[in-house]
Amino acid sequence: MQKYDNNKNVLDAAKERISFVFDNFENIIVSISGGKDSTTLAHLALTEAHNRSRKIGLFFLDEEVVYQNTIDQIEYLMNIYPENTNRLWLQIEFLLTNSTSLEEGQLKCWEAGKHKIWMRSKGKNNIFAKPWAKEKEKYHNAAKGGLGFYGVLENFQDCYKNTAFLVGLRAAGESPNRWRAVTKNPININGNKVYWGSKKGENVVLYPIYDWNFHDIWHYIYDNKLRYSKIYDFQFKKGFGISEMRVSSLIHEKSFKSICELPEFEPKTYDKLLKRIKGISFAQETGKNSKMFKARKLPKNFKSWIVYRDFLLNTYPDPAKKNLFAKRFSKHLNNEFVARQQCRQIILNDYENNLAIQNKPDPREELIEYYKGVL
Amino acid sequence: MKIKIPCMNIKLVSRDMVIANSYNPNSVPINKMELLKQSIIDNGFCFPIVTIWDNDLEKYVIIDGFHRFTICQPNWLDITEVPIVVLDHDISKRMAATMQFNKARGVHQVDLDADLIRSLLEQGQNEEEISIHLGIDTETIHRYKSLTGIAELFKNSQYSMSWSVEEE
Repeated sequence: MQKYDNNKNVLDAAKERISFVFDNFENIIVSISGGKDSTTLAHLALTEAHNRSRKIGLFFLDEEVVYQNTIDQIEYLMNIYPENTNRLWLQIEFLLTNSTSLEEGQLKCWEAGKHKIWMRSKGKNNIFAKPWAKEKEKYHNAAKGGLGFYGVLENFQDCYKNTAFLVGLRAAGESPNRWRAVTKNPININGNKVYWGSKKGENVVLYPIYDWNFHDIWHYIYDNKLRYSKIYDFQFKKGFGISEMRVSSLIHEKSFKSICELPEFEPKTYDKLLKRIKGISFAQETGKNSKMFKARKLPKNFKSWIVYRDFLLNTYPDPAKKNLFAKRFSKHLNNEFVARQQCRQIILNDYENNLAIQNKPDPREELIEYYKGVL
Repeated sequence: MKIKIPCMNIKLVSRDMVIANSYNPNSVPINKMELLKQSIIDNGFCFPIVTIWDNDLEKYVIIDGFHRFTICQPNWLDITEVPIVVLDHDISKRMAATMQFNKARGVHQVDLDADLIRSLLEQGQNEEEISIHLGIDTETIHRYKSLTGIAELFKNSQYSMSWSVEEE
């Protein structure tokens, strides 16, 4: 149950939570993404570390294909209090889904031997080798055929014990569902029941700013004169709603839309991206077109979503991934409602099933049946 | 490579001699049509309409410039004599040319666009003039005007009250 504490604002509450973390954990690592939420959290934690003359880790898993503004932001955070910062900027090879191309459905970021077309060169103070032993590596993703983003995170966390990982997840932010899931079971930290985190192996993951709203975040950034990614200002100038602004990764299946604006925000990054991976130009021009990537409107030369789905499946270029789709779809109902979602998965090359399919009877058919009954 | 310069051979023909093609995929939103009209008023007709001569129809068929041609119609600026150039292309080359003319163009970098608008304001133009001549609504001008960025907007906001989760 959610309970308001009218004597305390979110800033004071977050400071108390962070102080509690410092009292109870010797090793603290903040995950940063370059976005506004993790910028705020990192600054709160760094300030506490500075006051206590302690050192905390700032962890950034670098996907290579990101805004230059993100990189600048990470560099800024790493240098607020360098004497209190353990720089955990990871630049290793792993697999990313490229939802913009069916032929090149996977991007190996920082792929060995391709350094000439990397988006940028690696920073000399960063970590280039996997910090875990090769024989201990786990969490391989069968669909991907290797280690993905979350696999790297898990292996990274397994390198530590009794460590508090701080994450800038907000309940009112992007993932209310994820928030409910993580707080289902309180954790016990030295006798205290903590509802804003979860146990993760031998460590804990904590969310000290879970109750902040986006305006609290911006107010904190203003008050402390923090630098933030310019992408937010660009999005504001382009008329984005303030609560819907994101500085996300550039190519995975939920963020391909950010490519539409990229030439206007960071032309140099866009030029490099064109050379780096296939499918970018097509996604940039059609990303906003509801027919293509959103799969809202049926292309006019197909008479149903089922026909369109079968066409997409039959012409899918990669046989291994084609089987993944075919197998998954064979367990689904065969109706227009489901077929449209299947089309979207194929178009976005979502062989990993990240955009889950609602497998249920077509609500339109139900409605038609209902009216048949009534009339 | 020898590059031809068809724009050196412009002729004025009657509006009725020119017709649209059947395949043009380009669409121009209404606010951009207003901007095109304003551009032709401010700058004159700087770019001829690109056509081919069709022997069967006995008309000039447009390859590029359909929307400039639309502006010549009675419900817009009512220009009866239109400047054209005539290319010698077969149908597939024509379609490719249409695509090339429409797509080979840049976009404006957001922050540089904003700089440009601020500098016009500094030169003494008012927002209304800028809005008409650049085809930008005033809300966008306001957004472009702000140098300070998004955090400044939350200068006076108050922190919200904290809450916690408890067992039922």
